[in-house]
Amino acid sequence: MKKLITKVVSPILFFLIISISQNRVSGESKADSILLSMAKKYQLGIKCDVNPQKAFKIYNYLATKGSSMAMNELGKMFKKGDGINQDLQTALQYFRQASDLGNISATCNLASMYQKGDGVNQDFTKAFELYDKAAQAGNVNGCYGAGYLTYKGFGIEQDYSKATDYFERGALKGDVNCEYMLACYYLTGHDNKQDFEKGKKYLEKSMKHGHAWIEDFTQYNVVDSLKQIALSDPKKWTDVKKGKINNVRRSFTNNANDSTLQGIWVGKLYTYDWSGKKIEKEQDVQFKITTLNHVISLKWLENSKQITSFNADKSGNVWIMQKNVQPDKNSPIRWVIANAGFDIENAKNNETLYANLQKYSVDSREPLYPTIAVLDRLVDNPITISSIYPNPFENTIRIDFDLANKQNISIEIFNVAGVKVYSGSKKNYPNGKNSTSIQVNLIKGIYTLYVNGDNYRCSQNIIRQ
Amino acid sequence: MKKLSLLIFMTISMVIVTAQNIAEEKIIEMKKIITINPAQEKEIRTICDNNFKINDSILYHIQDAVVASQMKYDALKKLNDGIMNVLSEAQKVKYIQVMSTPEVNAKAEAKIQILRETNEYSESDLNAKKSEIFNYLMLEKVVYARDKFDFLKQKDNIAKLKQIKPNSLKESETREKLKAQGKIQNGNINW
Repeated sequence: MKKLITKVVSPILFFLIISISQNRVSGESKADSILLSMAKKYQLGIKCDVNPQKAFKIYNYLATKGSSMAMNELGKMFKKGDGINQDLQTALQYFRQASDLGNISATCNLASMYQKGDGVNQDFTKAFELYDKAAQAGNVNGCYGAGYLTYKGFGIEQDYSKATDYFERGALKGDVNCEYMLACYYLTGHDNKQDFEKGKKYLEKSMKHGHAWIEDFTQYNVVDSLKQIALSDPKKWTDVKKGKINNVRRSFTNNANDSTLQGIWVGKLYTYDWSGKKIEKEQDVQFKITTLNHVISLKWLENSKQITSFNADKSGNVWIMQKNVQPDKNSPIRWVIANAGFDIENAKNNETLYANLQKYSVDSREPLYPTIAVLDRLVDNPITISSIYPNPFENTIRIDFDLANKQNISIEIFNVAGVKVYSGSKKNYPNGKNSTSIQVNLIKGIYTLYVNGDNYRCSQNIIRQ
Repeated sequence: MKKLSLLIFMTISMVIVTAQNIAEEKIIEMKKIITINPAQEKEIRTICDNNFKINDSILYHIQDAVVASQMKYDALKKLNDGIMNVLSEAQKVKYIQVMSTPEVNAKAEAKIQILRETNEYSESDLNAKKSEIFNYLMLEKVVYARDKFDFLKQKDNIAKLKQIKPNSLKESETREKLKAQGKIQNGNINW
């Protein structure tokens, strides 16, 4: 009997004790695991009615027993307001507790709270630290989060190479988000590493792991469009790169003040990639700046349409944003200006304003691509029509006009219904007095002739007799 | 007079017999799948009989098509809700699962066929994927059948279930959409 106990029962007891202690060490006993899976079933409605309240009770019971997984789930429920009142502070608390107990998923959720500023002040540096910790532990969400912040330079120095390292680690484990980011990286050619085949490969991989954005890429022929852009004119931005705006992250001295900024400024807005070294987009803009009690009020116009406006007050060397027009929910513009810097440079009787404007997305609650606006002060309309003759005319018109500076000019004629009936090609003219003649074959009536410059135009009515 | 009475009696009997048959058929069908106790059986029979009576009234006495269709919808809702209330959660799930197996199986096979066309997966891979797709679609089917007339609840449940939607099903659906865009030829993406 003694032999039986020593040879059979003792080893069984030994293994039982070991397995129980192992379970305890990992924080979840078998009974706890069963309860967790039951709570998940209630939460998702697997073979039962969705019952978040029941799930909450189970998670709460397990959390009081010290289950980090239950704490993480409770955090998620409080964050979403799933079956309970949304409470971001409590969510944050649960994520923090679970993270302290070593739950990596909770660490990522905590990082996400810091990234979005949910229940806590937005802190990209803290978010990166947490994501990085999770990534070191091999968590794919950590790899994605840390890579994403590094890719955009939020909370850490922007670095495509380090970002792709994180993404590749996540992609190796089949994370769709990492694969998608790698696809975007190779397709857009940031860091001059455009590789369409690699981009397509990662998109297909992400599709296999459940990402459906490939549909948009194929529907809108995005890859072809990107190829065309890459082939069209690779040297398009050479002049800009060599000029003063070669790097958006250059330091602004902020030498402009409210009195020097006052006026109308016309020029271009350059949108850069995340590194701030490559210009991705260029568009015409106009700023109307007025001041009152040292506070500037800036109206941002594109094609004569107001896009947004904000007020800013200079305190020391920093512009502090005041009234910022919040876009409404239906507006296509879903950003506000978070930070601004203004430098004015004078050269050859011409004032140039460099405005470093940081757009901030209202939806994603993070900065958008960096931008710099380069604008010239508009003193008067630099184009004036001195005479048009003969007027009334028959077929030929001679237009005399004055230009304040050298620019490209084109002539356009519209009828009274606003329909364009004549459009001439652009031609470069020097400053001073200029003239041009056009041949037009129009029916009798009143028309408006426009002399279009780079940023301005001037008009006069003409009569076809 | 005797003949008329006999005719009326026979008609009423036939109606009762038909109603009983329908209820009986339903109970036999259910009994083949799940074990139901006598109390449940009685309740199901009453629900089916009531449904038959309403349908019969709709057919012969209601002239307005809109009113009739509304009554038919309400009766069907009452029938479904009634049966679902009588059955326990486990009985509901088993009954729906067995009843829906051929339909869900066909759906899963259609999804797998799309993946098969890619020539990227072996048959054993496809079998494993079919199994996970089938299980997920069956979970959805249970929600649709159980709350057939409670659309808000259906929507909420399905939205939650989507969190565990298998990647193979997502891939199949994406490929289906690409196919509809005309962007897939011989299983390859035409960029």
